[in-house]
Amino acid sequence: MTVKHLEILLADDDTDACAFFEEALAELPISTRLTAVHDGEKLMQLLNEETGKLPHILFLDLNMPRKNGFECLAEIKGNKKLNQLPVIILSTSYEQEVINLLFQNGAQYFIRKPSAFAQFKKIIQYALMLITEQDVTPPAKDHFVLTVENSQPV
Amino acid sequence: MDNTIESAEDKLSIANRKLLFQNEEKEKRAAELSIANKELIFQNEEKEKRAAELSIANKELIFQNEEKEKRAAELIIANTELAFQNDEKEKRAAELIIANTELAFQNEEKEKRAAELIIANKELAFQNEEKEKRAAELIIANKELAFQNEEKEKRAAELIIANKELAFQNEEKEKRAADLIIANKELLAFAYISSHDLQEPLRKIQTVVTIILENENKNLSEKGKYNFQRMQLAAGRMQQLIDDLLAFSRINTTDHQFEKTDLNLIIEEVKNELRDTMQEKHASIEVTEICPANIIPFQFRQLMYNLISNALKFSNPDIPAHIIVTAAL
Repeated sequence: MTVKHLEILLADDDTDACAFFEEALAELPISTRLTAVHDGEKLMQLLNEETGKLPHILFLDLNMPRKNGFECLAEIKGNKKLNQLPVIILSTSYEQEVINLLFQNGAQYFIRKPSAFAQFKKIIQYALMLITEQDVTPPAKDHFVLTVENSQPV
Repeated sequence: MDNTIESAEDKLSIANRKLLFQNEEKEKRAAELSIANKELIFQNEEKEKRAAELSIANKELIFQNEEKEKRAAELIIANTELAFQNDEKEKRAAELIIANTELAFQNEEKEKRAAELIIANKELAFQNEEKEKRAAELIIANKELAFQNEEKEKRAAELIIANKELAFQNEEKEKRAADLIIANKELLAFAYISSHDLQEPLRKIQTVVTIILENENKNLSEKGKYNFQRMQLAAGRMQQLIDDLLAFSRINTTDHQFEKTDLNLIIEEVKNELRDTMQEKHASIEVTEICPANIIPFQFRQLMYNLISNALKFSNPDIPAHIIVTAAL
């Protein structure tokens, strides 16, 4: 999958988080267009629209009202039309059980949001690069978690 | 001449009287002889009687003699018999002497045995006394024990009452403990949720600080930059506290379920989590001889995380840390 322009969908109920994300994308040397939704139901509605084109990547927050990130991930991966969509999880917390569960449920990568903005930008850029340069194959488990340190171009 | 006549007359008178007297004496003597004669006649008669009697007696003695001779012959026969009997008795006596010797020996033996038995008897008597003393002591001890037993039964009865009281108290405490467990779980859940929710705004503060420091760097005074750095340090410290609080609440809220787990997987997860620090410290982890084990995965992971992160934290910064993990049963 090599594309010049990336359609990115972000599902996060926190508008500040969305603003940071947008700001980070704006500063990256990649052509992107960001669509943001603020709850899980909206996300699934958008993805299930007959006419709508699927985004290239979904960044998914876990704690959302109406339908949380786990439910959305399960629905996406259980849906033949949607299950090729790469889902990258964004989370503030780092819990091994949660990470194992997400990996099992077919998420592409897990990102623990770093607190420094520069690192956040770097990790988003790395994730986008991985998605555009590689086929959507399930990653090895030890590369499932993206961190600032391993986000150096390989 | 008158005197001479007179003297002659006198002399005749005296001779007359003498003759008269002698006559009288001879007459007396004749009388006495007559009496003696008579006596002798009587004695003769008596002796003839006696001779007749002696003749009879003689005949008797002859008869008796004959009888005695017969008797003597019988006695000779009897003597022979007695001699034989005597011999027999001597033989018997010899046998008896031997038997006697034997009996004397047996007697000695029996005396020895008796002496031994006397000693043994004394010993037994002594033991008996000792046993009686002991029995007496035991009786006293028994009484003491019976007394103690009673005391103990009293005590046991008291303890039963105390036990019931304690059981009641225990129930109350269990109820209280159950309440506390529920309260504790609620508190831990609260700690988890609140600390989880606290992370997000904190992360935002940290992000905004970095944005300001990056974009507004030239507009900030040195003092302003310094204060922002202090804010970052404080926020970093708070993040550490929240992480610790989360880890703590997870330890207590997660079900303590033992599972057969591959320790390699656990260590791999910890390595992933600590990758940043490890790269910073140029550290390497060597895992050898690791086997599956029955553990509570979450807690074991936390343990390995703490051990390895401490090892990294306190390693000599001048030497690349090398951590070796091995298992042994």
